[in-house]
Amino acid sequence: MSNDKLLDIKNLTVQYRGDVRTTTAVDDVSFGIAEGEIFGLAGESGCGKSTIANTILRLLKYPAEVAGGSIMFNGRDVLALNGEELRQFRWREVAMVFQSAMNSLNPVLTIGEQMRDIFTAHLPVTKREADARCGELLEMVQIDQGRLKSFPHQLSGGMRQRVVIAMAVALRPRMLILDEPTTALDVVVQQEIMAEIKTLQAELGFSVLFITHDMSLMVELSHQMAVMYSGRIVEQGPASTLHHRAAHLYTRALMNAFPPITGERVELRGLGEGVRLRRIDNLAPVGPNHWAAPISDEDRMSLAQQSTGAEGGQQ
Amino acid sequence: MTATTTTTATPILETRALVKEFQQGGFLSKRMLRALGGVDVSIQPGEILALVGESGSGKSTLARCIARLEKPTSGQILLDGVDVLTTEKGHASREYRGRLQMVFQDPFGSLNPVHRISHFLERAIRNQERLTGAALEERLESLMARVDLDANMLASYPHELSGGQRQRVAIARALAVDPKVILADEPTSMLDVSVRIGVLNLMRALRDDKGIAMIYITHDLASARYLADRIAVLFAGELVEEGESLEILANPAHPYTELLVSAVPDPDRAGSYDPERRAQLRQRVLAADSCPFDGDPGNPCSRTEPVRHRVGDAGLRHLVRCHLYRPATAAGANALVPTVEDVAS
Ligand SMILES: Nc1ncnc2c1ncn2[C@@H]1O[C@H](COP(=O)(O)OP(=O)(O)OP(=O)(O)O)[C@@H](O)[C@H]1O
Ligand SMILES: Nc1ncnc2c1ncn2[C@@H]1O[C@H](COP(=O)(O)OP(=O)(O)OP(=O)(O)O)[C@@H](O)[C@H]1O
Ligand SMILES: [Mg+2]
Ligand SMILES: [Mg+2]
Repeated sequence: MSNDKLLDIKNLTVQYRGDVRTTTAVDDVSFGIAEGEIFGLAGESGCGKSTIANTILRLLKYPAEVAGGSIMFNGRDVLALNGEELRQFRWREVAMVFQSAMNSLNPVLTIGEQMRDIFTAHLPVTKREADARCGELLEMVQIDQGRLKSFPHQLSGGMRQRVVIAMAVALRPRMLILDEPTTALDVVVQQEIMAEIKTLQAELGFSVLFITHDMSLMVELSHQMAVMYSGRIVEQGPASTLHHRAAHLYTRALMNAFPPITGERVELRGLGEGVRLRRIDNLAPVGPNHWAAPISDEDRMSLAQQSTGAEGGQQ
Repeated sequence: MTATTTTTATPILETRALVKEFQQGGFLSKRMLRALGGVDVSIQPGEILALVGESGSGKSTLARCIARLEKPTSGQILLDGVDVLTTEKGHASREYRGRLQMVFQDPFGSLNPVHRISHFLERAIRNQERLTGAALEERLESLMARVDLDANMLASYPHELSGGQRQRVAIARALAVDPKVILADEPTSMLDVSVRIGVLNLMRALRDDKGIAMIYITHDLASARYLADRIAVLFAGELVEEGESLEILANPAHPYTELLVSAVPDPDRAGSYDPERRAQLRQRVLAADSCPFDGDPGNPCSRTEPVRHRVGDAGLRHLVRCHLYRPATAAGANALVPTVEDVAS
């Protein structure tokens, strides 16, 4: 991948080192995100998506360790940033909505106090100006300004999640990392917030790393996407290509694992009920701007059996 | 795949006119927020009811009230026909908690980080029976297997598990006490789709094998349709529609249900989101000026009473609240609060 990427990850390997066992959560992963691009990262639970996001923001804590590879952001080596550089980098350059966003708010401060802090800590604004901006942000995510005075526990899960989304875009960062940003939202609000993020994104031109389990949502929203399995990327390419012409069996199974919203009610079988991929080889080109990991013969057989069950609901 | 439930049997769980109000604001600006405005739900033994609806509409509050984690302002909760708010004032008995288990929305908050996974399951098992040594070990392993987790993980701490793995532990913990009813508050929203199906199948198997009744709270309409016998739609603290799952999604009768169904993500119609049409639908949700069920024999439309009209055959158990009804007190939900433009248009 060329170096015109805003974010460029090369051969990243991240491990959780334990006394008994060491988990390689991210295993030789490379991908890039261009300026203004929405990049979707999908994959089974535990495959390393959040670990990648945390590594980009340098939030990995012991026993996690970057065992290899590089992360460049806007030409700068992220893994080499020092304390003050990091402080500027987080929020202003890259902001993240965490998977546990609902719980990331401080329980003893009101919503308004926490939102105001972002502005006063990073920008030369008065309290009053900051408060006005907080109100606008809250309305953007469809929450009444009056809720600025509420404490986190007084809001529903989805409302808290929306507050955190509003906080992440507050400083108009160049890149937004959304780790499962809408799991707690109803589809109506989800659609409106994603439309809002898309509008903002088009207006301000920031890039998005979008992590979700919701393949429909991902395909709808992303330009490019990658599918991970057990720390490895198994397929990467334009979202619509992966949707219509997925090359890897795992991607296809993931795309077809959704129960339909119309028609007959049919029994589906989840992946992960027994069958595991054992070895994932390096990505190889399978089409223009489209890569997939070749599947070992052994894996091919077991997965093929499994996916006939999983695809029962489609076609 | 649909349970054969008879509507005449005693519901295993029922709420009647359940109201929950929260106080909002500080000492000077006290304001009551009505999170539940009189909710009637009932489920039969072995029935799965999906509760869907707007974020902030009171789904979790309803579940928390039933689980007795929150004290309802008024109304009744009947477990197996017994009004538990009068028989067990104050706190729920240990027996009640054994019969009714809750799986929470957020796996990150529900597991204390200082304990190993085995601790959570052991504690739950002990509530039920005295097991030690190999028998306990075996039970732990079978619980882990039930939720598709490796038995090795019993020795892990919650932070060492991914979000999805943690949620499966929470489900295993609920299963450990052999409950009659499981209240599952978005148990699968953090699971990837392939595992999600596995968990839904697991929930269905628990219903089929053990007759566990469930309230399944979710934002994922497709999974509600897949798992549940019936779907109930909550909006602003009140039920607006309920009916047999396939029926209600195919023929949504309330404007809010219609809005919800129209917003399900679908890559094949990407870009179909139309703010203008959305505004029109919202307008109908908030201020419909006619009701298609006008003339319903015996159930005249009403602006002041939450009249429920029947949709289609009685067998579909499909009921919709009158479109004209306007609750007197503003409820908690505010995602659909009318903006100035909405009302003007
Ligand atoms: N602190 C930790 N110590 C040990 N192992 C960890 C730790 N954090 C994560 N892991 C392991 O690393 C792997 C990747 O976890 P990660 O949270 O990145 O997954 P994920 O793709 O975000 O999953 P999900 O979709 O469920 O959130 C998992 O197998 C997990 O068990
Ligand atoms: N402890 C509390 N104090 C004050 N208000 C509360 C409290 N708990 C909930 N509420 C309010 O009650 C309403 C309903 O919240 P609830 O959590 O039940 O919604 P929900 O339907 O579960 O939403 P979501 O889908 O976002 O989880 C919201 O307006 C919320 O702010
Ligand atoms: Mg994660
Ligand atoms: Mg909730």
